[in-house]
Amino acid sequence: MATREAGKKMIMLKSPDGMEFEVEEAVAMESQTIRKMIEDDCADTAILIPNINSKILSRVIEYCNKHVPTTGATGAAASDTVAPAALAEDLKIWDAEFIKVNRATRFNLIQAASYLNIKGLLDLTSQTTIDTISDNSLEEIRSFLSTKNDYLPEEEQTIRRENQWAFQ
Amino acid sequence: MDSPSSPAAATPPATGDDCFTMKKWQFKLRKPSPAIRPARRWRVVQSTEPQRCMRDRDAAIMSAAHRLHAHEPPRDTASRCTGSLNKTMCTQDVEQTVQSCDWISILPDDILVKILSLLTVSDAAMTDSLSTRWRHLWKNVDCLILDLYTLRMPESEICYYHQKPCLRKAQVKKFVRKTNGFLRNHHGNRIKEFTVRFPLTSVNASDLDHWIGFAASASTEKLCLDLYDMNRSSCLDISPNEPYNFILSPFSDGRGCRLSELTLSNCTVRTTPANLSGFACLHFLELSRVEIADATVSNIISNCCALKSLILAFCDQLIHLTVTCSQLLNLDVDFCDGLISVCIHADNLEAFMYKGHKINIEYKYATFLDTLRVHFIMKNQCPLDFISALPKLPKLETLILQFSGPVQVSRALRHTFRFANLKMIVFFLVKSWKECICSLAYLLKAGFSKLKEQPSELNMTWPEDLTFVRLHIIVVKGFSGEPELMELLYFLLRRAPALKSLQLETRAYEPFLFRKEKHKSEDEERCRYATEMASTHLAPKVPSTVAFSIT
Repeated sequence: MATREAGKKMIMLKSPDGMEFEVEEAVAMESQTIRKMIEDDCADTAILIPNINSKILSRVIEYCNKHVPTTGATGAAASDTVAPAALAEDLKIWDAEFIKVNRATRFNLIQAASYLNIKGLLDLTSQTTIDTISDNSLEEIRSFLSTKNDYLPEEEQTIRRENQWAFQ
Repeated sequence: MDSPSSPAAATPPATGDDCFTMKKWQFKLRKPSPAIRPARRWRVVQSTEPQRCMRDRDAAIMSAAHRLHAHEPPRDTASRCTGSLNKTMCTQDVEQTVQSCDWISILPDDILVKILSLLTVSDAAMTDSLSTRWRHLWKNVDCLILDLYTLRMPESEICYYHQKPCLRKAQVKKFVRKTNGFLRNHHGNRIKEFTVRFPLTSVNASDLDHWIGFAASASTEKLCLDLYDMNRSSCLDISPNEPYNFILSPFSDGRGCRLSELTLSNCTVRTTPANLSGFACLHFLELSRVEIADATVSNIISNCCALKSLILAFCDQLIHLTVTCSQLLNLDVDFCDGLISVCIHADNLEAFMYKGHKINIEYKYATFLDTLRVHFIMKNQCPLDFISALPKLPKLETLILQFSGPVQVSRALRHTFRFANLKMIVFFLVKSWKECICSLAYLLKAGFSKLKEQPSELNMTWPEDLTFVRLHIIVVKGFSGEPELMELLYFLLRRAPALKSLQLETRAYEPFLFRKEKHKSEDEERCRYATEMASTHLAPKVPSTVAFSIT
């Protein structure tokens, strides 16, 4: 492992619960937030990632590691042997497997993806949530999302009137 | 610890893996991919006790949740389970607690709006009624796609338009009412995409004008107005209304305008305001079935100083098109029936596609052109004439030509072009070429290295002085074992010493047509015949140095 990492710039990421991850620069740059920090030379010491615990952070890094473009220095050989279509298909399967997590983890991942500005991960996590909302009735969505209806009856009437176009 | 080779261990269960993947991730990727295994480019440097992590995680979630809910996240259950290695018990436990907690409402506004933007507008508006947390959130969605599907209107009724005009009227009324209701409530602030896809005409001009005004004032980035009626052919008996006249005046004031993509379909554009500064950021413009005059197009383009792509399709009123745009990279002109000539002043153009009948072309400096597609559809019109009218093409790498009929050898010889950089050439042969097939050999003489063909006991005279030293790959798609094509392949095999690969594909490949279901069995027979021809007659003649495949 040490030989492979030789000559590559490593970035240290730190979660608030005291875990440190040494990540290759290319992997860390998948996050636009971290990319900005690196470009602004704020990444000399460990970068503290607030609000994202080590478990979620490790999943996020796992995602970035997989999605780093293979055309980079390390992946040049891989892109020669595997057709781009097969590669995309493989990523899709991997994503589908990756997102099979419980709801709490998924929402934590959404939050992390949003903070770290990782578009692919944000799209992936949001899309799975969308699938639960689409084409369902209000009551079904409420039960899927465990949302409590806290409107007063008259408020609900007002909203219904306002959004009548959507219901009819 | 799970063994890395065990598939069961590598695949996590659908839900509830919160606690037990904890141990795994430190040592390996969750699921090694079948195709490639990415190098793991990260590692954990310092790790603390898992139990502590979980507690901290809950604390972090709580801090995000503090302003919203009194829900108690599953702190105790989760952390207790993490310590335990009893997988089944803790999965169930966590799952139950997790299900009863409203995790999504904890997320901040901007993320929820982002999620809502992925929904259809009707679904997004429905979330208004979920709870006070969701109130007004949908009014900020930045992706407004308004069509039958997103407005929950049954599509099946559309088919009966031509029988019941009144039904159509009602449908139009409903669409307009819904769209107006939606736009009345929406905040209209920095919209990324605004699409209206519904066959409306000048009858609804006032509503459409209002919507365009909304899009302009909401700093829309992508605007698409598709008023084309997909079922038009079936309702010819109804006298069609005048197409809607798209107004450009909302874009005359460029302040705050971020329009970068504009697509118009089935409308007219009559006049352009003197000032069109709202188009300053426009880099993509598509006009499809738009009634527009030559001068109007030129006028619009002259205001688009950032334009990169221009597509003009089925614009039948165009006669002498002049495209003057120094930044333009892609130009498509497709099936404009009235067109007589095209004049291009775009020195940076990289890709040019033309489909349709023969036209005159004036194009002086093609210094950067790397892709050229010419699809001719009329009989007796040769795309080679089109190319010979072009200037030198020093950067051209890909050339795609569709021949509507065979080209005579003598005729092909008239065109002596040399393309120094050409890497790929694709021929679409619509009709059978018979003995004219040797013309293709002459075409190849220009020094192409890759040949793709699409077709359609002959006495033919092959050119004698030809050797294809740069020809490496031959691909024939839609191969049916035609005798003339077999002859051409024999010839090429003899004369291409550097050939590395010969690939035949029998699948019918029609660029603009879909094969009907009833032709399927016929087609299978054709494929069988072609495969047999290739394997019995062609295969023995292929040298061992050439990779040969039939699919």
